[in-house]
Amino acid sequence: MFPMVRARMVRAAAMALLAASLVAGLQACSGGADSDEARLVVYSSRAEHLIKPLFDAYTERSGVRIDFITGEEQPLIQRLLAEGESTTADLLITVDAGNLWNASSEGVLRPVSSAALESSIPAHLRDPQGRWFGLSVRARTLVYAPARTGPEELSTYEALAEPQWQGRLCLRTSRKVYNQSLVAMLIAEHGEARTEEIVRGWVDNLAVDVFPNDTQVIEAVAAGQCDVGIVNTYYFGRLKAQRPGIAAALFWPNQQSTGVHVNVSGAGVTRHSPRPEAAVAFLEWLAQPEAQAMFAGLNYEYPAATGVALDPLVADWGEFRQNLINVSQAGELQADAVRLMTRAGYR
Amino acid sequence: MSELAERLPALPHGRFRRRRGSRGWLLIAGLLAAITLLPVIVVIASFSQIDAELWQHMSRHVLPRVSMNTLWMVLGTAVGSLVLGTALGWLTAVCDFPGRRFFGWALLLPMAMPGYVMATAMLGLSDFNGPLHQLLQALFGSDVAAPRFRHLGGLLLVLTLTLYPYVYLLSRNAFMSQGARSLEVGQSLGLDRMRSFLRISLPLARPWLAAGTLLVMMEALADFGTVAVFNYDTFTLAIYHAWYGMFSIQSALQLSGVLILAVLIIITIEQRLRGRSSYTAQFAGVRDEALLRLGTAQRWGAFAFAATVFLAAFVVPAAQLLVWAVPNLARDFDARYMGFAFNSLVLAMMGAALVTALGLLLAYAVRLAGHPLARLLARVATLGYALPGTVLAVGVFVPVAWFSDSASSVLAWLFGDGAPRLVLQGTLFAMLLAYCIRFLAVAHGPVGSQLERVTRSVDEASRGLGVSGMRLLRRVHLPILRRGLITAAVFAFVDIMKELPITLMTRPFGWDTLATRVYQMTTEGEWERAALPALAIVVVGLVPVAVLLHQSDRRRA
Amino acid sequence: MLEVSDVSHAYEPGAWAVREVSLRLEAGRIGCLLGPSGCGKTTLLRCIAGFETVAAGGVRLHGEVLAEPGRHMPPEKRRIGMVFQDYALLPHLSVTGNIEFGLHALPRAERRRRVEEMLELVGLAEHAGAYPQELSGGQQQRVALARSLAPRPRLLLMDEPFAHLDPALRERLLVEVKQILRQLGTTVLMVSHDPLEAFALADRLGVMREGRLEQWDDSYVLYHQPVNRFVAGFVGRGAWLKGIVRGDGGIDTELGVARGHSAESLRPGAQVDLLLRPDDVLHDDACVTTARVVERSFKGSEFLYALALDSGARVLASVPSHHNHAPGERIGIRLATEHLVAFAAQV
Repeated sequence: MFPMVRARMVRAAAMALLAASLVAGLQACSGGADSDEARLVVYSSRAEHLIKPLFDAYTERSGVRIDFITGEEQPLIQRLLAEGESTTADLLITVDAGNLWNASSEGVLRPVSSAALESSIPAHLRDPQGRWFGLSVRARTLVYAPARTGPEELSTYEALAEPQWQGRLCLRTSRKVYNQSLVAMLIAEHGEARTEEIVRGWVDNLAVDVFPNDTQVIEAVAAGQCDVGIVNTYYFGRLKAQRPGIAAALFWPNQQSTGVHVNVSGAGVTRHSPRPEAAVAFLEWLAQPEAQAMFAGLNYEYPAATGVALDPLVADWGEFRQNLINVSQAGELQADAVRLMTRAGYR
Repeated sequence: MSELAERLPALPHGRFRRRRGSRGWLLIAGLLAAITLLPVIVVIASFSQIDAELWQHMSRHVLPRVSMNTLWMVLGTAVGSLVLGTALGWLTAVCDFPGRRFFGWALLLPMAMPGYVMATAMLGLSDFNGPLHQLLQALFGSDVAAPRFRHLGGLLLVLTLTLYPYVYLLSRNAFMSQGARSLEVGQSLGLDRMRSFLRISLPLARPWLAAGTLLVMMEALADFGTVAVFNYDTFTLAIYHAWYGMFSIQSALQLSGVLILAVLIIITIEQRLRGRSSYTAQFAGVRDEALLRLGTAQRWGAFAFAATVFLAAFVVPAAQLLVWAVPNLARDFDARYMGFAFNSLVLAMMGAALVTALGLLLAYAVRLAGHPLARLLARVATLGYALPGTVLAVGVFVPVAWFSDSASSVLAWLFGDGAPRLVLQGTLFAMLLAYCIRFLAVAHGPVGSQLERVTRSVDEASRGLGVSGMRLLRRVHLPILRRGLITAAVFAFVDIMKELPITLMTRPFGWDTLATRVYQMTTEGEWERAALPALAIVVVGLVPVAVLLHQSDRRRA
Repeated sequence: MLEVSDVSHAYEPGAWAVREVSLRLEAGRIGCLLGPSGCGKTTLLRCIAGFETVAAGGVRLHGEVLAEPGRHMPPEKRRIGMVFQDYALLPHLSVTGNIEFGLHALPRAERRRRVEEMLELVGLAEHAGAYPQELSGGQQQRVALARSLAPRPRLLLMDEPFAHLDPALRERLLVEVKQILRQLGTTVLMVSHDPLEAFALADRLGVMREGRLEQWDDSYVLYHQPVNRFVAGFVGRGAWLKGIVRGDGGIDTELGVARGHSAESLRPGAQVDLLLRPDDVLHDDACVTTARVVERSFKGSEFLYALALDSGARVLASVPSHHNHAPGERIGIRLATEHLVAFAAQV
């Protein structure tokens, strides 16, 4: 039997080398000369099923083919840095402002000035220098158990640090960038000292250890493990779509003060994009209402552009006032926020 | 008698008579090590810039806790896997009990289950309001709560259940070639079975057990997914804390350097402790009839033990995955899955073949170089396995991109502007290279420990019969190494099937795999939808593993 | 005293490896089981050692029951030493470590003393710290012997202990091992396929075939009075010559009348095959009966001649080496039988 295994191994190895050299060769040939093709290359940390339908729609309308890879933000940024001038990527899409800010401060994005983009995307949802633009809004809000608490008791993120919530709060781990952004925004508003007090208050009020994801926070609220939690709305949207009767509801906090904390899923044109005009054209397309409705609708998010129809399930949660501080603050203060949360014992 | 002793010349001491080492082989070991060292070099280079403020924060608030946590996690997982893997390996290799053949390969299956998947499944089962909880409440009233898994104990359980197969397969190889003979030696000298096992079988299996445990420790050190699900802060999390949280890849690389150092120390200690001993027992081949006969209670005890592990490590999580996958089947399962499965299979097969071949080459280079430096280089070459996958992916990607850039510049300089540009990044070549760097350890372990079986006297005896060179390799060494090679290929295959960060970062456009499919879903927290590709990994990964193991069992070396 | 009575063993139901074997070995004697490979001799040894259970019959040592159907003393309790065919030395332990291995029950000082004693006995004192793989084959064999003798076993079993050694070394070791065993007065049962080895070491011999013990006797008796053709053929060289039993107990053959002790009474007038060992045929130039030399092999002090008689029958003759005759020559021979070994003729 052994010679057979060996033969197979040898054949597989030969096949591997052949295929590898073939692909390497093809790439080497096409690497330099494809910039005039009707094609765009996208690096995306937004999950494939949330972004691919938009690519397909654009290809159908414009004839521009879109090649893309998905991955985590930081490796993608490192990849852009490593590739430098030889990159084939035209656009970087990420799911939060912190990483967009980091990408622009690392210099992998280029400034874009486009009247269309500036008029449709509100100022606080894009980079002041035009290196990236928010394309959908992710509101981080409160979820509560209607049986045990309600709007009369809920008010702000800050108030969740009060003793009345002792043993009633559920949080997701501080490792998730959404919480890092939220705390960064609090630092921007209140300064480090006050923010640390708030975060310590949250930690003291935890009903159970922090959860690895938002869905589990909502489940815990619904199951009665705690009364209130902080989550992104679209996780609630997904659960609600599956289980309309779920024993949890959303509350918009800070309506009398700063507004609901929002983050963005956004995109920027890479510094060494071989096809910058095409990239900008695609960005502009993404910012117009039809694409905006689709972009947000795929994941129960809110469109970044104003005046775009909402998914009925999302519209049902009502209108709310957003925090209007520029979301790039979230990136700028993210490292401070991470340090602060660690100090405060928020894991 | 003493006169006789004088007349018989004793061989010089030392494990092998030292031959003049060949420089060529030292060079090969050096080259391989150099390639696999790329990420390590990137790590070392990172120490040129140190963010003092960040390190201060880390050393004050993060490192003390994560260091202790990591120590407990790695120790616990190593001990757990060692005990479980050794016990199961010994039972299925040496003892006669119902279902021995089935468990022989089935106990390897949990390996195909990514750790974070099993963790999520386990927690899903046991969490507040999970099925276990509801069952207990239905049975015993609402005061009863399911046991909580979300702590170190639960983490160790999950890690042990997913990682024990590394020790299991290697120890099984070792015990198979010992058979029941090692016990008989002990018994003929008045030791009972248990003590014979502890004092003979176990020490003789040491290179295999050490190799398996080392793989487990490295995998546990590098693990991110499982500890993240358990929200247990380990060193890897500190690395991501610095990188993703505070945008400092330099500090992340520096922290990874600490991991590498830790593994290097573990390896050195183990090697030192071995001293001059050899583990090449000259026991005659073991026949099937030589299985250890157990009493009725013992037979069924062995069965119950193996069945429990199989149930907990495979059946239960797989069932949970199935429960999650079925409702999403209509929405998610489509023709593309054939493509994902195909990509996964092709990558895993090509990768496994390459990694195994490289592991063999490295093991031979060390052996033929006959130089302590080669041994050290080989060790260093396998360190990639202890790095968190994403760090390693960057560590490979950066030098590859640099290389193809430089090569393109040289081409442009030689041939002018029309010269072709070399773009290696984002090609299968770069991807396979990264796989090799990451998984060389899983091939080197089994092949290296099996190569200890091929003593110099085997070589000399064969040369005496006029067999040398490639013929020696093919006719003498490969049959002896066969089981080691198969083990290496199985490890590499399954690991590549599950591998995520490298695949994510280096795959060419369109080369989505089952693992990246799992990632797409989990990154947005859609665990239930991730169950389908996860299950597909298990199924697609399972078939070749079963075939290979069947092959390995057919002829016992 | 070792008593084996009617022992049977089967690895699988119905496939008997050992059938109804009985033998007795007095204390201090060395016994040897001979037989072709697969005859069950090693299995019998393993039954005595306790590695196999007996299906029928019993094994007793010094009156104590070791094994009976349904009763099985574990091997480690039997105080029986074993030298394995492959020695089974432990490669992770030094020579000292190997010899010490079975002495775990003794106090440390006693253990050390015993190891030194054994090292001295087998002449390996200067290799005490060496590892098995650093020793020559003969040295390894002596370590194996020392290891099994160190705990002073009540019985020592040896499974083909000399099989892996070259002939010259084997001859020397045989003498030395016999000395050592005699010196210690150990009772030994060994297994071999080589009659020379068996005669050199053993006082008592047995020949096994297909699981049965064909004969169990003193070496001398077994050689000169084998109970059947198989035993006769297995324990030494010889040739069969046809003859007819005379009234006075002699046997008429082509070479004249053969006379001697006979184990069984032979019926006068019966046609028999007479076994002629090489030393039963004497070369005598004065003799009128001659035979043609077919083959000559030099054995040092003697020649072994294969001779063809006039009838075409062949006999062997052992002749002092100063009688050198080339093949083809005719030489005078006569019979010098002391024991008559004859069985009814095969047609």
